[in-house]
Amino acid sequence: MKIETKLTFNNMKKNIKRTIYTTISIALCAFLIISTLLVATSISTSFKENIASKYNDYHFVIRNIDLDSFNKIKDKEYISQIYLQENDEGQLYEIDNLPDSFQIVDGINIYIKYDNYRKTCAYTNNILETLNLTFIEAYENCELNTRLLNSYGLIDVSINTKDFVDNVPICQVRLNFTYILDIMLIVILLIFSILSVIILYNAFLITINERKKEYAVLNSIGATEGQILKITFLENFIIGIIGIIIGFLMSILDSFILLKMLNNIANSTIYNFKLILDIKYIILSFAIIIINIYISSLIPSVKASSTSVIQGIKNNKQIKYKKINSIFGKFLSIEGNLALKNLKRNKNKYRIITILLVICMTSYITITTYINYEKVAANLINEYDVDAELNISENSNKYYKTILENYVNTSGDKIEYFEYKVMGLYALVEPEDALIAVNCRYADVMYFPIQIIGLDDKSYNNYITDLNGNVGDYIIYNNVTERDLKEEEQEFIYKYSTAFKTNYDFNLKIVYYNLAFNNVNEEEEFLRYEIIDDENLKENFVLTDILPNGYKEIKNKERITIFTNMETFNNIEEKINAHPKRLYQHNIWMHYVNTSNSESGNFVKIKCGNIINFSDYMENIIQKQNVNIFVDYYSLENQEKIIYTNILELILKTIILTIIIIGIISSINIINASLCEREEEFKALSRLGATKGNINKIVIYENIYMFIKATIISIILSSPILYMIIRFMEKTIILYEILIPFANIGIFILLLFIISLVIAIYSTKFIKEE
Amino acid sequence: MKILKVENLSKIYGKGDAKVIALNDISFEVEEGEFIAIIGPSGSGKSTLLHTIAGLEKPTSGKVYFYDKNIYEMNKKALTILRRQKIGIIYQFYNLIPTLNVEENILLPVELDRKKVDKDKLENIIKFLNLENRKKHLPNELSGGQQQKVAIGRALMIDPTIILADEPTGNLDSKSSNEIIQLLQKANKEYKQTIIMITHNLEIAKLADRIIHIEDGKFI
Repeated sequence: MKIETKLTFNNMKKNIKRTIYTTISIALCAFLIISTLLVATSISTSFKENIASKYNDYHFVIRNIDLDSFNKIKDKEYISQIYLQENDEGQLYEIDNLPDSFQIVDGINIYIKYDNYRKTCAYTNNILETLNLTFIEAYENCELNTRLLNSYGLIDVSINTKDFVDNVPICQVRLNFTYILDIMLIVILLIFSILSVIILYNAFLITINERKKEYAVLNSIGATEGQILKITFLENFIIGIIGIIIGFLMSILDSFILLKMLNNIANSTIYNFKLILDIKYIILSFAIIIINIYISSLIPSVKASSTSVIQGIKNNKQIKYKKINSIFGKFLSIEGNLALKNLKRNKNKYRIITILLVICMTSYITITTYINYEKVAANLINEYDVDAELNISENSNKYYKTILENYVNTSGDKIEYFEYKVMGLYALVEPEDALIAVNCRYADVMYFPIQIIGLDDKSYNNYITDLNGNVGDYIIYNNVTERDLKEEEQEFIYKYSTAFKTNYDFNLKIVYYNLAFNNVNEEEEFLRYEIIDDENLKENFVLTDILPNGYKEIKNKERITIFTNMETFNNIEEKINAHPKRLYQHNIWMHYVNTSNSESGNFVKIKCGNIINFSDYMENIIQKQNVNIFVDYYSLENQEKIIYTNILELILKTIILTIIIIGIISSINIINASLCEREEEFKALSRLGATKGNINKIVIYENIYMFIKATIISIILSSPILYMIIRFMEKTIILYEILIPFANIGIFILLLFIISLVIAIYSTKFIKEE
Repeated sequence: MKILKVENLSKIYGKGDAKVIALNDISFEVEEGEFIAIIGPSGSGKSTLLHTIAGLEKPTSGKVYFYDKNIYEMNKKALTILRRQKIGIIYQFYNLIPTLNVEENILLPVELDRKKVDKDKLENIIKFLNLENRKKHLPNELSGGQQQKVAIGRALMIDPTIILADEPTGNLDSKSSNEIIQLLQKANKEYKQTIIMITHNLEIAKLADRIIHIEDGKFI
């Protein structure tokens, strides 16, 4: 065995604890990088596979294509797969796997999958150009798999006309998030790499410093720089290989556990993540960590090879005298002063610990704040307090209950639902004697949108009871929002004043308003109104700012809403239907203009336990059974956002935990090495009468100084990052308070302080025993 | 035959008020087979002179010739190889490699030079040093005197042109010191080994062929 190899193995065995610390450091750094890549790629690949199986694995459809056109595009190099369908109801077959009965003739449908979904628009445009389709032809016969592409990060991809003018179709995407995730992954890996290099550089440097004398002796008896470099690189290489293998195994285990936990959080078929060991990403992560090890070992190795023989043999430390003027010195004991001087005159040694503490604290402060904001945003964005709403026709009115009951029976989920009806109206207003002053003009005619909602009996009774009203009362919900647009723009100006009275005795009159009368004087104004019925509709009105349960979205509607019980609603509806020109009026002067309000209809509000399962079930029913029900899944996006936030929280907290563990291991290594180097110093102090307690105090003071310094630097570094987070989140939600989790951060910093103190005191004990 | 020539050697540390003249225009020559003792009080420049001769510390001015070749005109690698092949160094504090045993420490320069190990020579040196029973021991399992013997063995193994010994007995008791000095004398007499030894002990210095006194960086 060559002497360099022998020396390497001997060194590793001799200082086994240092070797273990360094190996663990490498393993943790490797774990951090490999895990990140494994988890990220597993989540991405699993998600895409699940989405593809749910929404079909194609990107572009051309229906009713002729054979000639099909032949023009079928061999395009960017098409990875084509599925053929004889007609709209037929089954899809892979082009290479067609049954014998399948005839490729004019009029078939083709489903195209591209080799790179990121270039969907470019490829689609190429196809459209090849086929020379007009916009109308493209609009009628072509379709993008938007659900799939949205999930991949291509938001709002569609076929429009070029410049919205001519007849040439063009595929465009509004937002392309596909590269953002890649960039985020690269940034994260870069940060982890820098962290790894800092930590490993320090670990290698400690080892080199401990062996400085040995390298000097070797140099003095004839070992060249190259030979010494060989010894150091060989040791780093061996430890590196062992560390990488351990880190890799830890990564697989951790990735498996993490993905399982993510699946439990998500609890859905779309988010069924599985661990995917893609060899190219494994090789990539190995390459990254090997480069990190090489970079971090380079300078220490060069330092080892160029050690000054004389200084190395004499073990002279290059401590430069630095006059220390500190205000604190006057208030500190001798231990505190020694600690301060040691820190100031040996800055390089303690810099790494400070850096590690700063990284831990800054990461924790910024990440927990971001997660906090995301969690609040996920809840706030939801403007609905129900999970879904069905818009039912007369036909579907009969069987929607059966559908919902079947869902409960098959899924085990709990459901609560209630019907309501909406009548959208426009009304005229004269503000002079109105409690709710509404000022709205359009072509000199003052009117604004209102809606009347008929509640089911249970909802109405609960509501009217809460408002201390009487059964049968009309309930006017008054939005207290104020919206004031410029007068120059001939836009509507809405002003809603705060309602300050309840149980006001309104009159409701149905009138007919004739829009054909224009520019009439005040007297003639009344000619416009033909009172149809005001007798049966004389009821009490309740003005309120409170909404009934399940109607939270009304708050954001820019119209006054009147709630009634179903009997009154039906009454009003009957009167309108009986005489289409009948209008409503009461003494806030609401006049019916027309009923062209798309929000009219019959609806069912639904609260369920699992909106993702519910949406899957309903979509399945609607597609397969061809029922005439339209469903809005209000909380689906919110639920996905909550799942996303929880997943993000788990991943980020795992990262923080790993960084903290790396920090602790490295700190133990550094402090141990530092105390070993200062053994003579402590012996000298002991001979002069310093007790163990005195020496412990010095070490404790050093840790306190470093910790305070690190905390101040962390706060300074975190501040601009927190500012950016708050500004970023303000684009999504409006908040009137700062959501930085000060209590959590305080507890974390305190815990970190205690851990660092324990490490320091434990290390002192360790040295003493040596 | 002159094997070493030192010409106008000076070494100055620091600047201004902190300036220290460790060596002040020293010149001397060494013949093959000579045993020279350089004696002087602490801080007189003895160790600095030895380090400069060994090529471990570059002088501020002056030249050092090994067989008429100025060693400070060589590059770093060549100087290191010269040390490996031609100069044996013995330190006050032995400076053995702690992870290598007696045999391995003695063979270290030979292995660094990638030369084939002469096992007979190794055995002879071990016998010469009276370390037959300690061949496989690590340095921390040896006494101070034994460790210094290993250092001597390491120096002798390469058949050096010159051995430079920096206070070889400085860290030893009198019995061990005598043993070491006897070994050095024996090496000088039997192997015609040229030796320059630094010491502050006049009694030990008297055992050499020539004594040079140094004080404040100058030969007296």
